Amino acid sequence: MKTVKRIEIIIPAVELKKVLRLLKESGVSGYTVIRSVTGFGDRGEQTGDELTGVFDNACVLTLAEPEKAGGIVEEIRAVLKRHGGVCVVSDANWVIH
Amino acid sequence: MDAHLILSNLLNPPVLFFFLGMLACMVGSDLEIPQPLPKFFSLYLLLSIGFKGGVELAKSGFHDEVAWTLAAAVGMAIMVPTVTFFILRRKMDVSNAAAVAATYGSISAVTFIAATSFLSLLNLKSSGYMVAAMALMESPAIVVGIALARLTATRMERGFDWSGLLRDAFFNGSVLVLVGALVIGMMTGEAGGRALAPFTTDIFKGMLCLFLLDMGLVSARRLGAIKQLGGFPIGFALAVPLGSAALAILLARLIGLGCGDALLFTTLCASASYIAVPAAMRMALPEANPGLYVTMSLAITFPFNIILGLPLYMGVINHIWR
Repeated sequence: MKTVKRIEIIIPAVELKKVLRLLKESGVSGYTVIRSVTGFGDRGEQTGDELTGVFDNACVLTLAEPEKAGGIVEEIRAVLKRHGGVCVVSDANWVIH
Repeated sequence: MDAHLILSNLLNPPVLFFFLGMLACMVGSDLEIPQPLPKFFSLYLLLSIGFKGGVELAKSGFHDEVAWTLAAAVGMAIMVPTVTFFILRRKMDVSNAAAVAATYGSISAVTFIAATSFLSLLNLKSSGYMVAAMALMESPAIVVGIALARLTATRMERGFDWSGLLRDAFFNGSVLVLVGALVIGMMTGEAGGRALAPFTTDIFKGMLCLFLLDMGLVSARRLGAIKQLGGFPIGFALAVPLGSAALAILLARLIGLGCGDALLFTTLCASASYIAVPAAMRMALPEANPGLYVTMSLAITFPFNIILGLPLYMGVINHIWR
């Protein structure tokens, strides 16, 4: 197993493309996207039932080497500051196969 | 207002399905349309209305009336957000004023489609180029809203991605499908129209019923948010459609449109976007509150237009055109 940082990002669905582009540019080797994520936060309830995608969130899950995680988080922080959302970083063990 | 027109509209199956959706939400029913389907219905309706409009346009050709109507449509799509922005600025900050103004400057394709269904109930004809007018009116308000916000704001971040905004405004999915279907309809003409009639015409009203059932659910879910809006946004969401409709009827009369086309033009000007504009505003003006502009458009203006607006506008048009 390899020690990595697990980065979970919940952002408005309309900003998903931008976040994925930032992750690719940051050099992550992959990511997983969960669409139509709903919930409640400081921007009110995200019901996800609009055609617009305006009240819809997306969740992005990625793994990064510990030394790269700080740079990725700073890139994501700028998006979160303007558009809202959540980013959580935790320690994880990656099962190499 | 003509009671017969109101009754005809209320007994139109799509409108009754809209009520059914609202009722289901209000009584706490577990009725729901699975998530990808509303997007599919929306795509189907835009494709059908665009294609049929193209076929009609191929038949009628391009003449002075078409040019004047399209020019008036673009003029209204620029004028409405500009004027309403400065009215809204008296009560709202720059971002919210711009987002609401753009919402009301753009159009609701579903309200337009409900108007075509109302016209068929009254046996009134409309022209294919009205679909082109709808396509032209969808995007300018987005650009005007963002431009006004950036010109009047005291503090906005530098390096705004205008090319991305213009791409989203003019090539978003709804506009692309609508314009693409219109062009395909024009290219294939009557032969194409006959070939696709089982898909674009025969099942059209049933699909509209399903879509409006979902719209009823979605609108009713946002009804609770109306209480938090306050008096000014509610008054605005009712007054602006009426003001825009009055101006549109005047323009339609000056251009010399028939009753059916006049209703469609009026409906376009009186409706507010809840698909293309909110998505663009959420990206370009994240400081604006979507709970404000989506609720105004979806929970107040949309139900008002399809329940009372359509028969009211038709009644005025009938009275003036008589």
